[in-house]
Amino acid sequence: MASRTARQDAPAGPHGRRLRAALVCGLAIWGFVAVRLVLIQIVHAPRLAGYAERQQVAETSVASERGTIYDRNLVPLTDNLTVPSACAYPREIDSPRDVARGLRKVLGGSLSDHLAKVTADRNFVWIERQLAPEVADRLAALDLPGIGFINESKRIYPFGRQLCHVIGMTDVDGRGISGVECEMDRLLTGSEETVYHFLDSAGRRTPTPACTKIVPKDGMSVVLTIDLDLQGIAEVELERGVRENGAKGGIVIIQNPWTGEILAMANEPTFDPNCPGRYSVECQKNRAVTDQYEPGSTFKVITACAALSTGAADMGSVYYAGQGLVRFESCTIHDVTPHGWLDLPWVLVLSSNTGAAQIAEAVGKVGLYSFARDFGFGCLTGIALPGEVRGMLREPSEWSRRSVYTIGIGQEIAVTALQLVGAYSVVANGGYLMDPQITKAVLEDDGRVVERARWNVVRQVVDPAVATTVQEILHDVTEVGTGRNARVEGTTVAGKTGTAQKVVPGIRGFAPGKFVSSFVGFAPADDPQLVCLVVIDEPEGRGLGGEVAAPVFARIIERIVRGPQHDYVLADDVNRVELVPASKGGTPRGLGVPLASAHFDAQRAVETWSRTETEIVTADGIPEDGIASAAVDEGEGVRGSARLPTGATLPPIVSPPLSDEPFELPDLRGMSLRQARRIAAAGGLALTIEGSGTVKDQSPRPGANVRPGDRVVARCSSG
Amino acid sequence: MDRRQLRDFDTGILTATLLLVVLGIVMIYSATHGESDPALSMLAKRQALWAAIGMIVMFAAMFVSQDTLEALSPIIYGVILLLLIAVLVIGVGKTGERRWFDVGPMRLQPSELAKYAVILILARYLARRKTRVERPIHLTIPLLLVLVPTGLVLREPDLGTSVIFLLLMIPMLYWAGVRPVYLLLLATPVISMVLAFHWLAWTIYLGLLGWLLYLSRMLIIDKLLIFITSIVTGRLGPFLWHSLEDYQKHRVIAFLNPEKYRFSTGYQLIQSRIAIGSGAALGKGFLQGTQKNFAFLPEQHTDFIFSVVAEEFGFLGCLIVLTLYLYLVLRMIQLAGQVRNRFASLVIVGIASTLFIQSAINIGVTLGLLPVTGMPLPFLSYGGSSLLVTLMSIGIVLGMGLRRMEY
Repeated sequence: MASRTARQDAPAGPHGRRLRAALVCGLAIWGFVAVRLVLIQIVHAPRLAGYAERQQVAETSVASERGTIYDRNLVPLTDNLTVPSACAYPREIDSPRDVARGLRKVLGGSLSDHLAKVTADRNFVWIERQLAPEVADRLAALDLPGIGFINESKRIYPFGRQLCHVIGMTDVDGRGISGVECEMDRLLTGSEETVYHFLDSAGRRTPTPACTKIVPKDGMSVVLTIDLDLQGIAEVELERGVRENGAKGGIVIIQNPWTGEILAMANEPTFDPNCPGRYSVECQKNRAVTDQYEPGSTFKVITACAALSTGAADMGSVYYAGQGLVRFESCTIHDVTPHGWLDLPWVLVLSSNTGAAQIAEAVGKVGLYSFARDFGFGCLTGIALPGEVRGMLREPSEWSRRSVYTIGIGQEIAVTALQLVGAYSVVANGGYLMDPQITKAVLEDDGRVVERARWNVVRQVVDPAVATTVQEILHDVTEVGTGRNARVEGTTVAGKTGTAQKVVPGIRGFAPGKFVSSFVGFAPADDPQLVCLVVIDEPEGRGLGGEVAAPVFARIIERIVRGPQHDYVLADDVNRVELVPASKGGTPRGLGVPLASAHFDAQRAVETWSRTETEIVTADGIPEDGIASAAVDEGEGVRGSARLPTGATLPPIVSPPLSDEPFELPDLRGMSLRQARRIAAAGGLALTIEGSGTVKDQSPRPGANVRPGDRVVARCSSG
Repeated sequence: MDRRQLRDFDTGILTATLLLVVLGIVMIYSATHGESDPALSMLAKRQALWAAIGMIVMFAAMFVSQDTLEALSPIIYGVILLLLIAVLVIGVGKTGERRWFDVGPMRLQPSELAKYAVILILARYLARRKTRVERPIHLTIPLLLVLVPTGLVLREPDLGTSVIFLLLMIPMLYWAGVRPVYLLLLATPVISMVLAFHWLAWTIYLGLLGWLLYLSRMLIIDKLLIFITSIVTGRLGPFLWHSLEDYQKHRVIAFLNPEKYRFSTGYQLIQSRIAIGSGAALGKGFLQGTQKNFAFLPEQHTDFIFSVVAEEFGFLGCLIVLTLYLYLVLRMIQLAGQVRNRFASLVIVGIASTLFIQSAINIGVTLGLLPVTGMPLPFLSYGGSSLLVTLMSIGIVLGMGLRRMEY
C-alpha cells in the first residue's frame, strides 16, 4: 500500500528519486526485520515455545509411594525408605578435579571414574544412588559445588531372605523385576503424580491455577496368601534338610487344598533382596515355578487315580512285581527290591515301579495323558508369579512305545513343584483342581479392599470316592510304606515319596548319582487341611525320598501342629471357626484374625463354587495380573466368608495380636531399622520410624509396658 | 486555515498515528494485565491520558508556522544545549545516569527534545545554505551542530539517543542534496573505530580506504583529511570503549553472545526472543501471552512492548505494525517532497527519519539484531513524555502539510 501510493504520487525530479531511495531503504531495513521475524516466529517457534513452557511451568514429579506387600495376616513384608542419592550438575562445576577428589574421599572408588562423571557433557548425572545417610551427610558437609542430593524412595525388605523368592525385588528405580514385585508392578507402582505450576521469572510458584495432570495416588498394596509363620517353618526346615543332606537346593510348598492358596513357598538357596548383588542369579530363581523336574514315584498317585476313575483297576486288582523286574513288549521296568504279587494299594505303599507300570498299561496312553492333563500337568497354573514354566507333558501321539510305562512311574514327564502340590490338593480336597493363589487381595492406599482373589475350581478331576480311596492309600504309605519317616506325632499324615534320577544336559540318559528326592502329602490324613511338598535337589547318598524329603515334611508338619497359634490349622478339636458371611456380619472381621483359620464346610463350598464361580470365571476370564475381577457376590455366604469384607478399612497395620497381654518393650536403641521392625512385628506393635540409620532413641522407654497394637516411635541417627 | 489547506490535510499520517497510539494503549494494557502491583496495572489508563494530552499538543503544534519554527530554531537549540549541560550537573536517573530532571510529577528528559532541536537547527542550516556541499570540509558545520549535543548526551550516558543524532543527520544531508558518496565517507571513521579492535582487520580496512581514496577524484587535502580522521578515530576506538560504563559494555558483549549470558546480561534478549518465538505465526491472542504474564519479559510495557505484540498477535501482528510504521514514514517523506518550503521539507524528513530510526532500533533490539539500548518504541512504548513529544512532532509535520504551498 505504501509503495503503491509512493509511486503514483511521486513527482518527477530529485524529490521523486529521493522518495524512491527512502522507500528502498525503508523496505530493505524492514525486510531485514521481517526475515528475522520469520526465523524467530516461524522457524524457531516450536523450540522457543517449548523453552517458554519449560521455564514457565514447573513439572514436579512426586513419585508416589510404592504399595506394600503383606502376608495374609497383614504383616508388612516391604517398606519404603527415603534415602538420599548424590547427583552432579556438571555444567556448574568449574574445578572438576577438586570435586572428584572430594567424591573419592567420601565415596571411595577411582578418581578417574568420578572425574568422568563430573565432566560429562550433560546437565545431570547420578554420582551414586541410594547412599547411606551417614555417607550422604559427610558428602554434604564437603559442600562441593555442583553436587546435589535427591531424595529417592528405596525399597527395603525387613525380613531379608525370608520369602525372598515370592516377594522378589525392585531395581534401583523402584520397578519390580522379580517375584510379586514384578508381577504386580503395575498395581504396586500406582500413578506418578505430576503437578504443574506456573512459575514467575524468579522461579516462584505463582498462585495461578496449577493443574495436576494425574490424580496423585500411592501404589496399591498386595496381600499375599503366604502365612509368614508357616513360611518361616518351611524355610528353616528346608534349609536344614538341604544342609543335612548336602544337597544342592530344595523347594517347599504348602498349599491350602480347599482354596488353592499357597501358604508357604520356600526355595533353597536363598538371597537377600536388600543386597541382591551378592548373590548369583541362580539363587534368585523361584524354582517352585521356574524349574521343572521329573516327579518320579510321586506321579504314581496320578496313575492310580486314572486307573480307579476309568475302571482300569480297582482296589482288588493285583499285579505281579516278580523278582523286581518286569519285561514289557518294549522295555523292562525295575524295582529296587522284589515284591512278588501286589494289589493296587500296595503298589503305591511300596512304590513299586513294575506294579505302577502295569497299572499305567491298563489305563492306556490316552487315559494316562488326559488324567495328567486334568491334574494340571503340562499347563501353566497362571499363578501371579513371573517366569512360570509349564513343565513337559507330550501329546500321546509323540509318545514312544515305552512311554506309557515310564510316564506311569513318573519319568519322561517334567513337572513344576507348584503343579505337583496342586495335583495332591486334588486328592486332598476330594477331587477338585484349584487355581493356585499367591495373592489374596489388593488394597487401596487407604486400606480399602479393591480386589480380592477368588478361589477358583478349574475342574473336577476325580470323584470324591476315588479321592478318598487314594487318601487312605497315601495314609498307609506313611504308616507302613516308603513314607514312614513322614509320620508326625499329634496328627495323621498321608503322602507319597518320590526319587527321580536327574537328567543333566550333556549326559546321555540319567546322570549317575544325581537324584531329586521328594515327598508330597497332606495332614491330617482324614481331614486334609494343608498339602505340603518337599523337594530336595541332589542330596548326597542314595537320595531316597523316604529318607531325605519325608523327614523334612514330618518336621514341618510337626512344628505347624505344635505351634500354639496354629492349632487351628490341623488339630481336629480346635475351633472350626464359625464364619459369618460378610453381608450380614455386622462389624467386619478385623484383619488381625489369621485368615488361615477360615475353615468351612469344604464339600459344600466346593459344590457351590463349581456351580457358580467356575462359570463366572470362564465368562470373565482372568485378568493378566492374576487377580480375578472383583465381581463378588456378597450374598453368597460361603464365598464371602473367609475373605476380606468389601469396603472394610484396615486398622493400623500390625501383625496379628497373639495375645493381649502387656509385655516389656525391649531396648531398640542401637538396633538397625530392620531389627527394630522385626521386634515390633513380633510384638504386634505399630512402629513409627523417624529418620533412617540406626535407632538412637525410642518412645516409650525400654522396659515400659506395652500391649500389641500400641504405637512405638523409633528415632534414628539421621533425620 | 482556508479550504485549500483543509484539502491538503494529510489524513493518512493522522490515521496511522491514531492507530499506533491506540495499539500502544492496548498493548500496555495487555502487558500490565494481571499485575498485582496497582502502580503497574493503571499504566494503560495513564498512557491513554497522555495520549489525550498528546492529541491536544499535536493539534496545537499544527498551528505553529514553519517560519516561526525556523526563526526560533537557534534559540531552541541553545536552550536545549543548556538543558543538556544542566542535566549532567543536577539531573537524576537510575543507576548513576543523569538523564532527566524531576519537574513536579513529570520527568523532563532533555535528550528527548534535543532530537527535535537538532532537526530544526540542521534543517535551518541546510535550507539556508546557498552552495552545494561539494567538499567534505563543507560538512564541518552540520557535523558540529550534531556532534555537540551528541557528546553531551553520551556523557549522561545515553548511547541510544546519541546514536539517533548521528543517524538522523544522514537522511537530512541526503535530502539536502549531499552526494551519497560523502555520506559514505561520513561512515568511514565509524567503521574504522569498530574495526580498530582487531589490528589485522583495521590494517586491511585502512589499506582498502587508502586505495579507494587514491582512485577517487577528490582534492588531495580532502583525501588526506578523510584518511587521517579514520586513523584518529580508529586509535580512539579502544579508548572510547574503555570509557564506556560497565553496563554498556555488558550489553554489547551480551548482544554478541546472548546464550552465554542468558541469566545475566543476555537475559532480556533471550526472554524477548522466547516471547516472540512462542507467538509463532498468529500469536497466542490478546492477553494470552504467558511470557509477559509472569514477568519473564523485562521492560515489557516500555522497551520490550514489541515482544508483547509479537507474542500475542504473532508474525501477522508484527507485519501489520511494521507496515503501519513504514506507511507513516513514507507518507511523511512523500509530503516532504511536496512541501515547497525547503526548511519544512527538511524538518519533515528529519522527523520521519527519527521515527523510523527509533522504531528500527527498538525492534532490532527486541529481535536481538542490535544490542540493548533502552530505546522506546514510538507510540507503543509506555512513557508519557515520549508520547507527548512524538505526537507534537507529528503535529508539526501535519501543520507543514497544511502549508505545503507556502514558500
